[in-house]
Amino acid sequence: MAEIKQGGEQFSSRWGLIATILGMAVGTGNIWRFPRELAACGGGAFLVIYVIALFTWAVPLICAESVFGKKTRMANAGAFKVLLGDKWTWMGAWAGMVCVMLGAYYVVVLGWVMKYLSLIATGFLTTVQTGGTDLTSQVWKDFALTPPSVEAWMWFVGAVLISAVIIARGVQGGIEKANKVLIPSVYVILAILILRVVTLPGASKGLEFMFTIDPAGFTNPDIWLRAYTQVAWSTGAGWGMFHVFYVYSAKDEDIMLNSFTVAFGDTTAATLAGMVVIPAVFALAPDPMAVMKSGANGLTFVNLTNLFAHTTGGFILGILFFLALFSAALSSVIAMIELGCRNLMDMGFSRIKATAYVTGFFLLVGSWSALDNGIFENQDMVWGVALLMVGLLYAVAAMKYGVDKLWKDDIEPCSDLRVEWLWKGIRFFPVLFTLVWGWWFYQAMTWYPGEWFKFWPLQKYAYTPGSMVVEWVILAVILIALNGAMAKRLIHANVLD
Amino acid sequence: MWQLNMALFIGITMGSFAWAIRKALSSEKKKRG
Repeated sequence: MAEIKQGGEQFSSRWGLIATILGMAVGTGNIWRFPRELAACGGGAFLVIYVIALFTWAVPLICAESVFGKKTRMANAGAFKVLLGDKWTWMGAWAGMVCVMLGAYYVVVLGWVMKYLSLIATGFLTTVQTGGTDLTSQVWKDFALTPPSVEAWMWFVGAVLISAVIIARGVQGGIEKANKVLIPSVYVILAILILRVVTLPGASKGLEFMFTIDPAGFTNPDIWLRAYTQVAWSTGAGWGMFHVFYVYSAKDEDIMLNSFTVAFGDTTAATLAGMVVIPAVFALAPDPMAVMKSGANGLTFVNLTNLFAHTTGGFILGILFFLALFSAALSSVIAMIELGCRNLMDMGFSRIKATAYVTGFFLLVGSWSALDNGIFENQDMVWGVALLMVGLLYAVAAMKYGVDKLWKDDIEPCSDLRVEWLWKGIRFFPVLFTLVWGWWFYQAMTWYPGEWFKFWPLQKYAYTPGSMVVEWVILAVILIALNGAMAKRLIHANVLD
Repeated sequence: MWQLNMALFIGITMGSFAWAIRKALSSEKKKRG
């Protein structure tokens, strides 16, 4: 193996690392997806299964990723190369690129949130009061759903540039500093919103719905699969981003306790968001379940905006809600861009150059999603399902290297929380993966009877297994072709001492 | 009944989060002496 060159950056404190990995985990999935899934699954039973999934899916995967970053001090591609051998470099690069592809369209959401924050701040809710509730649907449609969505693209460019400036300032001066503000603000804003929302007449009906457990839910496989999927997409376990931030961790960082902290920190944010959105919808909407089923965009940019317009103090509620969404989305985008940058920095690029290249890539690839919502929907499906596969790569890589060895050498010696059985749950991950991933793949087939293998045009076949497989394979083929060149350049680990 | 469920769920999730953060930060303080 080639010589590993040293030199780099580190978080200033453990809180800096925890705030950053929490920032990566807490995203829009907590605020707009969790309440919808909870409502769709009928309340309390979903919450219990969610906690089971935290222990069996999220914590072992977060540990696996974290140990790869801490042990090798290199990002995804470099770590797979160092731990498994040169010929596996492409696999680590594929894991990293899936996350970068996801980030490229996810920034579009950050742009949408910025637009709505500015809309509400400039009196949009008053316009809705006089213009009627159809106005919110029309504004959303004109802004984001009618291609080419030029205004949405401009907000997207702004969102990419803000994130790039933070990343370019480095780990301590940019990423850590931003997350230390963004993450506490998400919790504080959601707590303030709860205090207002629970005082609305009828809000307790929402809380009752949320926390009533129907025992029949435990025997419903659909609820189990949805809870596991929500844990996978909300915590970000197995996406490769925890891995990247552990490249900058202290030598004696406690992986197990930090994984536990993030899993429950993410669930806390999701629960707080649920306690804002569900009671608000039950208190203010004539048909709460219709609102909850209106999709992420429909719920946030149409229905909640409408509800804020017709509530006393709605201006403040709206501003705070979109601020929480902004903080959550920005902290996640930062992680996605940093993942791309760290992989390039492992190949010898400076931080500034790496940031410029990744920002350019985001602008190039993400523009397609920003301008055309059909492409956005396709990218969301293709890379969202691929992330589950990235988790499998980490689980298999940990097993190939040695689950016991990783525990004894790297996790246990620095851990205040010695729960070996929890870590060893990684061995069961392939079974869980087969159930969850297989369910998504099967569902996608049933949505397109007789056409599930088609992929073009992407807007028409946005969710087909055909479009997923074609895009995954194209990415894999490119990276396999580049395997040798990448392995040769991946010699720049982030080692401080 | 739902009030009890709510208290239990919030106690377990948010309590675990608060406990873990406290433990992580206090052990760092100890390490730094």
